[in-house]
Amino acid sequence: MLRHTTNWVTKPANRVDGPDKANGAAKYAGDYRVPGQLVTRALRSPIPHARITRLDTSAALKVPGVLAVITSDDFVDHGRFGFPVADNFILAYQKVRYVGEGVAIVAAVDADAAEAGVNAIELDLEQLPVIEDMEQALRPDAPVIPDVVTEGSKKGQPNVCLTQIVRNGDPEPIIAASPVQLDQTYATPFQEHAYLEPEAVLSIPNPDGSVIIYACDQSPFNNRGIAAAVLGLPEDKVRVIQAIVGGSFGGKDEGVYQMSAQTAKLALLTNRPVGMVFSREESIIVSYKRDASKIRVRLGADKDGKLQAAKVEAWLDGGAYSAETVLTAWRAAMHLAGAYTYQAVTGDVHVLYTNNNYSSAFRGFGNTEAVACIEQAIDEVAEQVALDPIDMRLKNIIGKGDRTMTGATLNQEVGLRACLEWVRQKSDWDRKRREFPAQNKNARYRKGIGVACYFHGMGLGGEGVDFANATIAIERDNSVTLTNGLTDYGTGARTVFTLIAADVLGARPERIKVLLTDTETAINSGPTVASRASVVGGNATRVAAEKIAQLLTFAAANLFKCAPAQVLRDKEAFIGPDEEPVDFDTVVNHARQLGYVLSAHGRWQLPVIHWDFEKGTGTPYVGYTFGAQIVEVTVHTGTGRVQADRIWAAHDIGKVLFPEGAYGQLYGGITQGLGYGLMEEVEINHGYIHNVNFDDYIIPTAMDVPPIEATFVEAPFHLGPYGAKNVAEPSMLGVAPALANAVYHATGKRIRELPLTPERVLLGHALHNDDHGDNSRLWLGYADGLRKVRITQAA
Amino acid sequence: MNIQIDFTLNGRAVSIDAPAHVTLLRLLRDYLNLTGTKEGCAIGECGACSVLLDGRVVNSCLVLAPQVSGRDVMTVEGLAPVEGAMSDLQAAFVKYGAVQCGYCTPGLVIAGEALLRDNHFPTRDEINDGIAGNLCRCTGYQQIVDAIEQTARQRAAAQVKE
Amino acid sequence: MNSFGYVRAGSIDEAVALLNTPGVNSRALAGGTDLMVAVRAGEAGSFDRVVDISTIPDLRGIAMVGSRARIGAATTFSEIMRSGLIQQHARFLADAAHSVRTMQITNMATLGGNVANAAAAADTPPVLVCLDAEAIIATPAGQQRMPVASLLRGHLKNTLPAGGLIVAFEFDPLSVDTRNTFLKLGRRNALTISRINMAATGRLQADGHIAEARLVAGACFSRPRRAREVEALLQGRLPSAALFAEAGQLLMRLMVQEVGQRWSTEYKALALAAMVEEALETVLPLPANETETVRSIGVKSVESMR
Repeated sequence: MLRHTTNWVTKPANRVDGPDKANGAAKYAGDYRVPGQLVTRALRSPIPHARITRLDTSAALKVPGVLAVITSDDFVDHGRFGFPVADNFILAYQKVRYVGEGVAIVAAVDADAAEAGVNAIELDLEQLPVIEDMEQALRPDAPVIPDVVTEGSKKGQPNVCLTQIVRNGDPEPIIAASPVQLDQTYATPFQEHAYLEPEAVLSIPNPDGSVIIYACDQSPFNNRGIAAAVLGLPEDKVRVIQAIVGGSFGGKDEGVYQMSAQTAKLALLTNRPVGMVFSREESIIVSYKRDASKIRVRLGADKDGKLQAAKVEAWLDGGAYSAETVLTAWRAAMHLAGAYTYQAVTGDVHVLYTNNNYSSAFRGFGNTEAVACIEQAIDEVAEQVALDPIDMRLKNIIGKGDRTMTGATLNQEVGLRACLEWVRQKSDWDRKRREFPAQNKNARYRKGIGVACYFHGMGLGGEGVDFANATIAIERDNSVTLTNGLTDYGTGARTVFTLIAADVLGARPERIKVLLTDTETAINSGPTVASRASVVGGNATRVAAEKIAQLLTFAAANLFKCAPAQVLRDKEAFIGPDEEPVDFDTVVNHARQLGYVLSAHGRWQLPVIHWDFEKGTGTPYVGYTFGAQIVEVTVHTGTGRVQADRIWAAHDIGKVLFPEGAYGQLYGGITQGLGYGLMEEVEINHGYIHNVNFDDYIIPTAMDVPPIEATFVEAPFHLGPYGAKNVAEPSMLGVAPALANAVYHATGKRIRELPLTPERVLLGHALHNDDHGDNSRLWLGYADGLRKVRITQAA
Repeated sequence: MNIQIDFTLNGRAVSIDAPAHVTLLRLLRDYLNLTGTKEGCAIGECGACSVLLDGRVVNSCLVLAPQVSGRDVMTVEGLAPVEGAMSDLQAAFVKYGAVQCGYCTPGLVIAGEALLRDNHFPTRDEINDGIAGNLCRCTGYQQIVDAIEQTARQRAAAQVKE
Repeated sequence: MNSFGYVRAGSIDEAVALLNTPGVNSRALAGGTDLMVAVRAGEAGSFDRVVDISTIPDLRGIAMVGSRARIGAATTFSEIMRSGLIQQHARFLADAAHSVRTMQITNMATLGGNVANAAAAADTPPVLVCLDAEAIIATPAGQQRMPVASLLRGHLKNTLPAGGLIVAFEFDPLSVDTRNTFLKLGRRNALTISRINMAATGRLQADGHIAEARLVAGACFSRPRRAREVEALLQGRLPSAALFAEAGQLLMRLMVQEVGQRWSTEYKALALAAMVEEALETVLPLPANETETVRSIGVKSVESMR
């Protein structure tokens, strides 16, 4: 039942959690203060790769104020976890694989006692050779990092976790026969999520042996599942409540699950509440990143610029643990050749183990890396055939009924052409492309303009069953309570759910309260990832609300003594055939008198599709979002500094349900893309992260973000609530390659390695600072020499 | 070494005993349980801990608690005319979509307030300059600038009426 | 946890006395923007207490004293940015203070603190050195004067006499026909550590020849100093793009000579030369026909490239 007119959805609305956040009342996990709360400190690895030969915590337990110390021995199966590959641990077991990996946690009455406790732990590490980059990981004599049998093991490359593939015909002969060919390799950096809230968790024990975990996590049900498994408890003994989350962007999964299990264990051991709050340095050193990638793109085109075939191979630096990089790689594979039609495409994405921290989910989830590379390659081909980059794209983009790069047929409305045309016109593209190259060759400041476009598969796709559950209840005071198994970590999902429920029920949004996701009150809906909250969670809300709306219509019909079909709605009013309209409260009260139960459960699932991972064929997604972005830059040719002057963005995200929220996601995504393209790079030298706080790991400030002119192209999507699609992830995709293309336009220098730092733009290559771990060791507590960690060479 | 610190906090006189070496940020959060002021970096790079000190915006992570003795401190909790409500600027943040995850919001509201007290008619460039000390990872700043700009206009209009 | 005490000084004399109390290792606290970061990184433990000098009235303010401009050491960057006197007589000092570019920092950071901390990338010391500013220092033995240039010994090292406290800075205001500029190269437009910064002044004779040029580069040499070799090269010559390029090359060679090849030298050498050219073009305007060769369309002010 799609409603054709809307009262609240698509209209200006206030974010439901806005007021508490604006006046300081909102409580994040690190803001909780409960009586008897203990603090924690961690003993973390000071080196990238080593065998743990001895770990003795007995002295720590004797330190005054220390109440408990845990290691991997305190968890079932040594705390092993990880999906799809179970190669990770709640605390390091037998080996440490990256700098900062947790080895033991001390809970104590205050920070000084906890620190003294950590300093009393005796740890012997036998150093192992360090794999610093992907080339080293592939060497036949490379030390093996994981303790699981990998796909690569069978081929003599045990540090290759697995390879995700696409097989759509055979591109080799077509490329070989193409008059225009491209074979280039591009690189993208590790990126830090840099959510403003560092990770925080609080666990509270209950008298019956169960535990409550307040966490800044993305997916409380996944958190509960892992915690219950490693604690050896049934799931109903672990209750996870998502606190207000201060940003995530994919970054608060595995690491927060480790913290949750650690504090829950300590809470159960001490029978006291246990909090854990990261400093910024601890957050950056310990938490996972966006993988760094190398992507080799081979393209064949005819002399008019019509693309014929693509063969793309990518290597992702997954770091010490595979985490979600296995899935990131799959999404990367599904998008490697971009939003274009080809006769044949193959893609191979390899996930590699190294000793560089570890990688997992981050906004865009593999497609960010893919778009960054393919969109530069498309410009390079366009130049070979002397086509304008937008004309090149318009000639090759997919439309309804076309085959995508994976070979599946696109069966939806496609707003991509409209997006490209909008940014072209708004940016005055054609004039600038013509005039900027005529700038004086000696000009100190040179301008350029570049474009990129993308497609982005919706939801989990072939990664898993894509469903959500919502509940809705009208309370005694006629307020409405909503739950959803998909969560809001700052995205605005709770507001979207509120607006949908308001619209379907005909109840003012002010009546509606969306509870924080609590595993005891909400229903498991899988992970909140892949920008699926609005579509899947929104539809579940709609389904639940429709059930109650139907009951209210019956009640109103009973009141009006008419047929239900004769009842009309205008906002909260119910209008019968003759009498005066009655209000929401009257109908709700009447429904209760009739004995109706005014609570309902809604479940919604995307259609099941099939992808064959072995063969690399099938249908990866039920649908796609699209978009195009243009960036205009000024380059200082003397220093290599690049300034983004203006950005234009058009995105086909289907119907926009919550405009302020959608634009907010868009601007925010663009800004993360700007950082990714210009300045953000986790610098890892010999396994040590150099830039461990916001003085060195820089993200765009208000002074760095240029005016952004944006629009939404609302190509309707038949599966989305009100025709909606998603926006969170796709918004950042085009910015970095558009920047690279603009810098090329300005300078004639093609920088195939992101980010476009002054060094790369001026010299053509990056420079590496001479930090050999001093920063990391300082913030891991090794500067004062009080840790009892002995490091020996392997015999 | 504990020290007695007497100062004005959100318009009320406060007297508190705390170690001399704690920061104003820790004093607010751990000793006075005012958790609206956030820690994002603890080195003055993100602005999440911004407060007004004698009416000027500062990073409370870089202020030593006893430094505020005899001075006036305003936190995000003190901006609204009534406790728990919102000031005009806070309401504009909500209305214009300037709030997402909300973690940077208290600091940005404080910085915006400081800017507006200093400059009644800021341009968008001046607003960007004024909030350059506050990192936000969610919004891309556009709607934050909108909220501050619109509040300036409202305040100017209200003054004209008076 | 390192702990320390706190005491607030009411006057300069009291501050000097407190800083020199026998048996107590004291540290002056002005704006705290550097000290608090260092304390968190573990520097506490090297002192027993901080002496808060930020509210001493005699340490604050900007005024003409005779023919000299005087800035109290505890004057904040914000006060310098807003000072009409500084805007008029040494605008590049206000620009350097503003280049720190966050209200939170400029409201607390002090000129004296920026100099005493002596960070290689600090933004105001190059300007003070370019102005040949003097520091007035209070010690238990009385006040003394030192050129700012000789106060700076290297990264995070100053040559303050033991127990000394910078009280104020003094300099001759720039003449009305002297142009000045401050350039900053960072990795983003605000909240950025200077990779290179630069202060320059220049004055032309009536016939268009260079009467005087001064140039100080920060974050490149072991400490900020006037590039006398470059200044001598420029003296008496006619401004030209070729001359400024030569000046850039000269300073670049001097940098490599002095600090050797470091990991960043390959980049900094080129960027430094480009910044010299840009700074000199600003303070020693090229004849109109030459300007065309370096700037065509899309010219942005240096300000907006920070």
